[in-house]
Amino acid sequence: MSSAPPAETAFERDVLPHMDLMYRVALRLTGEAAAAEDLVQDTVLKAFRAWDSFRQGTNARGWLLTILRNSFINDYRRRRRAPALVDLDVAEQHARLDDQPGQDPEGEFFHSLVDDRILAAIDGLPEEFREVVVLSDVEGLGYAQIAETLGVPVGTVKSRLFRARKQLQGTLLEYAIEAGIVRPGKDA
Amino acid sequence: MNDSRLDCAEALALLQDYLKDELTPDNQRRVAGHLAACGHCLEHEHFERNFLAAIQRAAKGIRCPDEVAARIRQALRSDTPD
Repeated sequence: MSSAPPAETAFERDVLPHMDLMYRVALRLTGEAAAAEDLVQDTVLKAFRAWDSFRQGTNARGWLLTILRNSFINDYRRRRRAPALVDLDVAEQHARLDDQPGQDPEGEFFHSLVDDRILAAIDGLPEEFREVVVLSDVEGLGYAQIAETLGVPVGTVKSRLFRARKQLQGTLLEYAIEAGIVRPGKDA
Repeated sequence: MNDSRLDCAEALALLQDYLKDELTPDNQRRVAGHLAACGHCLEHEHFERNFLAAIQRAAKGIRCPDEVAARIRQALRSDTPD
């Protein structure tokens, strides 16, 4: 016979509710479920061991994301095949697609894209872009929190987010044109 | 307080921060005011909002699998700090 379940600890109360968030971010960073699962587990165990250093009452979410990202950089990134650095030329080229709204007057094309294509497009971003899109546009973190998590200035977060979105929009637009959801622009 | 109006270039330059609600209340109001009166910029705003909604739809519903969460809880119970 099993005894009554152990009482929930403060750690479990503050950390475990963020498991889905950690998994989503880990999945986008690593690009594969098995690695994401391991990364979340490593993050939780590291957080558990460092629990004394966590200031109670502060934001556990940001603290956990920082641990997760550091673990990713130290232990996982080397295994990834995708380039870690941003291809500036490609980014700039996409950033110049200023007329994207004009190609979608009804605002329908994003609505028509299947989720898998959108996830593939996010996963195809350079890592520096991918992480800001995930933290900002999937998880809803503000600039200051993202800057703290990534250890970069707020201005860097803003410019990376801008360029990441343009590149992502460019990729999704290409998908939509291939799929016949939208017609290429007049000058395309 | 700054009540001056924004032109399109200024409004679009602030659009990203506006959509993230990261502007001062004053500037949030100025951008909203411009968008209310400018179809061209409003189209940009809709495009960005549709884009963000699609990303949310695709990625936000993903949850940590139950068996993974259970495994992590188990690991925690048996973990002893090094």
